[in-house]
Amino acid sequence: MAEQSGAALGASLYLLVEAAAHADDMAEAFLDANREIAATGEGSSGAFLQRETAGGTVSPVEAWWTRLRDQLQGLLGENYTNLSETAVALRKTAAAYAAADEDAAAKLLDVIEEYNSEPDPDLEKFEVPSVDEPAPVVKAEMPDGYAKPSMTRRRND
Amino acid sequence: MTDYSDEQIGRGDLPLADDFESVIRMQAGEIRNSATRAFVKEFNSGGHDSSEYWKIRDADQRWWQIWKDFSWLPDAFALLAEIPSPQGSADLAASVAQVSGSGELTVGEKGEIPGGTYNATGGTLGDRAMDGGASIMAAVQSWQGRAAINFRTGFSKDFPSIIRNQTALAQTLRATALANAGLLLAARTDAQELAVKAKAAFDSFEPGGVDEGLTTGFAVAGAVSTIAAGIAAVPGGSAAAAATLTILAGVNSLASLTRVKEEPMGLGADTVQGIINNVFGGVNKILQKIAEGEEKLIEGVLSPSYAATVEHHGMFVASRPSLIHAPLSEFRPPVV
Repeated sequence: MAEQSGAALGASLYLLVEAAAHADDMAEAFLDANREIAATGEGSSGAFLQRETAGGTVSPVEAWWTRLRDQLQGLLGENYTNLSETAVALRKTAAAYAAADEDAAAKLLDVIEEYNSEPDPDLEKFEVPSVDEPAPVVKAEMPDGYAKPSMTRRRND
Repeated sequence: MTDYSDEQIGRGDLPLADDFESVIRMQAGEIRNSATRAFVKEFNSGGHDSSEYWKIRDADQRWWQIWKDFSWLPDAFALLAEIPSPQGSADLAASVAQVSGSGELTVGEKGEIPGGTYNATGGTLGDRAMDGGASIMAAVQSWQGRAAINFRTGFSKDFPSIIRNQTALAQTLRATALANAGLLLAARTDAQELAVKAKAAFDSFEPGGVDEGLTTGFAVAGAVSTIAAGIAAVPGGSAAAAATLTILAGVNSLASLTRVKEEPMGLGADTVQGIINNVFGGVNKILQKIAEGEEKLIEGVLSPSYAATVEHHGMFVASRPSLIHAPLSEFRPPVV
């Protein structure tokens, strides 16, 4: 168990609740992205050159484009689920600790109420780069996960 | 005096216009008429091998029979008339813009795409998710216990790469949609030129004479080369989705795909059959080059990206955090 109790524990648990709120916001971001990608399903018809086939008309590019689109949509959906469940788990954790410590529960509620009374908590707010900073640009580099094996190989070489 | 059909088929905005199909079909009818006249001219000149030779008069029964026999000419051009508008693919690209992090995309009058950028972040995923991930990490920084460590090292830290990978996939979708739009625009441009010059070839036909100056070029061939060169530039044909970002980065303008025309071919011939063969060669060339370009997009970009996401599924989706369903004993609250 935690060494903390009372107000200190309540304040600590609030961090978990705050993390849960951010997880919820991220989940919503993936959900919104999912919706936007899903909406292309209605717009793809007629965007590609069709081919005469025995079973009708299909476009080879459209088939592959749609396949990749569906793949991305599935990934976005999985992230939404993971993040939503994470938020629930974080809240449950905080609630479980608070339930075992009445003082902590009271403090946690105070902190949450205080937070909620803020005029504009705006969890979605993000830092806008100043005009002096160049906009981040994607470089032709491997994703984080892919870089590790090659670095290992270089060390072994 | 310029005929109405000449005005329509000569319009500069035709490849992107909504009435492209109807104008090409109308021109195909004109080509059919011109081919009939050229055939009759050749027949009446005695150049046509006929044991029952007599001159065909305009619009008599045999004239109309020849006209009927040329029904496959409009059918051939119908394949070109039905090339979809590039705007449809450009709209697809714009519809994933929020996820891919680029700005709103529209096609201008000349096929240009303003503001086509490939930022790492932006839009729904880039801004909101990246910011949310950083905030989660900050909030749980002092969190303790086995579950907390698993959460930080096995879940939260992967957010940036997960978001980048999925943004990269969206950008791949956007880039291929744009390249497809470029192919269609190039093909429509070629179809328009071929339709104009095919009629001119039949109109200017003189038995025994060849108009060698009547040629047509193929923008779609140049477009395929541009796309192929972009794909070939990816090191080792890497299947990594992030690498595909740069494949079509140069294709930021539909106009850039139609600027270069390659492999001009002559349409003139000393027989009507020769002109017909050349015109059909042009139709087939356009269709063949579209197919080649589409193949490049599939084999060079879409298929490898799909394979990468299947193979490296774990890199694209956060693994289910171990804290879910974990016993409370594995948690220790943060210390403030």
